[in-house]
Amino acid sequence: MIDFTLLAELLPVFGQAALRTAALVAAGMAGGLLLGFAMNAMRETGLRPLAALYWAYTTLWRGVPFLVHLFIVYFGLPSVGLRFDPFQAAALTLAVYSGAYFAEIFRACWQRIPRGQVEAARCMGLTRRQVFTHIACPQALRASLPLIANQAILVMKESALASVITYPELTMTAGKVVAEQFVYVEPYLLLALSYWALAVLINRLGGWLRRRAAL
Amino acid sequence: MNAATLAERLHAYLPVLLAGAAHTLMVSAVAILAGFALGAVLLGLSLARGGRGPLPALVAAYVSFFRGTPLLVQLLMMFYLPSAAGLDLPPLAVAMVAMAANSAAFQCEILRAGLSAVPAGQVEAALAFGIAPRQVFRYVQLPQVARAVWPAVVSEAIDVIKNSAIVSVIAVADLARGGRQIVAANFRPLEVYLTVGASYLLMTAAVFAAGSWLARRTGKGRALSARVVNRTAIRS
Amino acid sequence: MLLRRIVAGVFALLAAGAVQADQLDTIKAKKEIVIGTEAQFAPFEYLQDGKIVGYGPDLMHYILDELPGVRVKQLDLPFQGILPGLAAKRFDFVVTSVTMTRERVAKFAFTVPIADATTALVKRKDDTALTDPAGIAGKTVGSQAGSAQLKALQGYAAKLKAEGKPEVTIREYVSFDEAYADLGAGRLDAVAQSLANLATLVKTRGDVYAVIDKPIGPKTYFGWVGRQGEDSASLVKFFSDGIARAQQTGKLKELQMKWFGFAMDVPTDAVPAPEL
Repeated sequence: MIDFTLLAELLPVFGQAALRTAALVAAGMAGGLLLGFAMNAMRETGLRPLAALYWAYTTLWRGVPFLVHLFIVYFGLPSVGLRFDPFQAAALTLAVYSGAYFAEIFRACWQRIPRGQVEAARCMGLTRRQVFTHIACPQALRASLPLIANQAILVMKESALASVITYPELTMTAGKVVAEQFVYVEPYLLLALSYWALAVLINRLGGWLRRRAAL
Repeated sequence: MNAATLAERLHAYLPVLLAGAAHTLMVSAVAILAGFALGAVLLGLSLARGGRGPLPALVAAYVSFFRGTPLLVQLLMMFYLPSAAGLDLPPLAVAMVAMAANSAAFQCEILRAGLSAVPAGQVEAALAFGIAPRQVFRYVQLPQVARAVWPAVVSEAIDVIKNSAIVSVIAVADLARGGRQIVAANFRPLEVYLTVGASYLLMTAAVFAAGSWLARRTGKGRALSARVVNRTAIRS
Repeated sequence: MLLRRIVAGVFALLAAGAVQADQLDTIKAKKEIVIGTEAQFAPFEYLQDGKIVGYGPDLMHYILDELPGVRVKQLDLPFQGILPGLAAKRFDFVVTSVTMTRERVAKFAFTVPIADATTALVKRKDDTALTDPAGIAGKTVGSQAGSAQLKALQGYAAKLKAEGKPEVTIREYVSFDEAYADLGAGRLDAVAQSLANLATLVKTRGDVYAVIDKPIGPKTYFGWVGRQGEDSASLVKFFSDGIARAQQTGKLKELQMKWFGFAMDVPTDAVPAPEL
């Protein structure tokens, strides 16, 4: 039922596509983490307009499917003069989309810092910024690692939609093989296994990071 | 093209978008409810006999697969592979089954985290008092689990609605497909896709509002849910 | 003992799935035919107000008038899923414009042609520099993933490369609509598609697009597709005969004029050997 020679032939093709998926995930994560951290820091300042901006961003971006975000950025923006190539569009959209999730993760971790510590620090004369940098950051970031690892898997899964805007990652590669060679068992099996393998890798990476951070 | 005003154009999009939204909501509703039921069953199976035997391992593999691979891949696999064994489901059914199976994996873990968020001491004390395990479950664990998992379940429901945006690859005419159809005819992608986005936002906001209202009405607090959020990290 | 029963049961299930009957007879008995279509291919088949319309559906309904009482269940899915879906028995027959290529003819059973599919290029109207297909050397051209038009484009790009010209960058899209959108947006310099489709595109959007009239591949035809094998032979013949009848009664020309604005010469006596 399964053609193993075909499977062996497809391995290098899928390997290359997996690297492209990994590149997209890495770019999305990097952008998303920075953006999420910045948005949360903005909220932590306590200024009302900034907090409102935070809520608008996290609600709007998380309430719409990623596919629609991609369509708006890739197909819609050219009509206002912004034209990105597939990788740029996918990475940018992924970064801004996951940034909303990371912002919420950071918010949850920041809010779990015991109030007593913050109050004691303020009593000792530390400014808000110093409290943020020296008291909250170390603890909150360490606590956020498992949630970030979790979110990384979700980012990887959303990256599959980049195939719709012609970025040649894993899902598009499998679709091509299916369309050109009229076989579907082997490509889709390989596709599922590739993503599963990437997920395991991300988990291992997450575990390693957590052990290193647990000093 | 510019003859119709924005309001007139939006009005013209309505029939197509509403038809698509109906499919989206139908698939999502079945996926959420069936996913919850299946997730509970999966959890029960993995905890049976104290977590020994092959069943917990099978459930772990199921959860790992469905949470670790993209839904798009799961949909495509369920669309093509069963035919090789002679099973034939219409596309709408395939979409519902695939999304329910996917959601079940997530809801199983949410419920598992909710169950473990109930302090073990309470269960031990109840058992020590001679209360039957079934009654311990119903009166001690269940209310607290329900309270703990509610935000995560609402969040999962919102995710299901968003995930449904890709079912057009297996021939289900959902809201996203409706958007693409309109753009193919009128070449106004920004306007149409923003409208589609707003429609999804409406749906997810409605679910969130309904969830919050239900939580307030039945007095479900948020104390235990933070631990649930932390425990539903994906492990492989 | 139990294991033996389970194995026997599995075999029975597989055997039941393997029992085949003549497809046309099954369709007449069930009074339903399941059709696979990619409704993103104007003017052959596309969605309008939620309904699948176009040259293909009109012709299909004309032919299916010969099967009164049979309900049509038409599935709309991306082109990349059409032929695999047919092979996986997700539908009985494909009524979507599939170009006849050697590989496809080897794996599937085609009807006689319904239209000419020869591939040409469309460019932006204001792109005055591009006047000949060879001008795409060094530029970016798009087409649909898994399509014969893409294959023709790849063949033509290889030919240009062999002549020492700069390489053509080829981008693959899920549907042609998105390729046209990118052409309009400036991400592509041209799109490779069949002349019949391009003619209609230019008719409705002549302000944005223009066709480069020279074909870039061999003469090819669109046809409809069924599975190979004895069981599907009568179904494929039914549709082929229907198309031939449409040609004889002049219905084919009438539909071509309605949807394209011009008529095409298609051989309807036999399935032509594909040159692509």
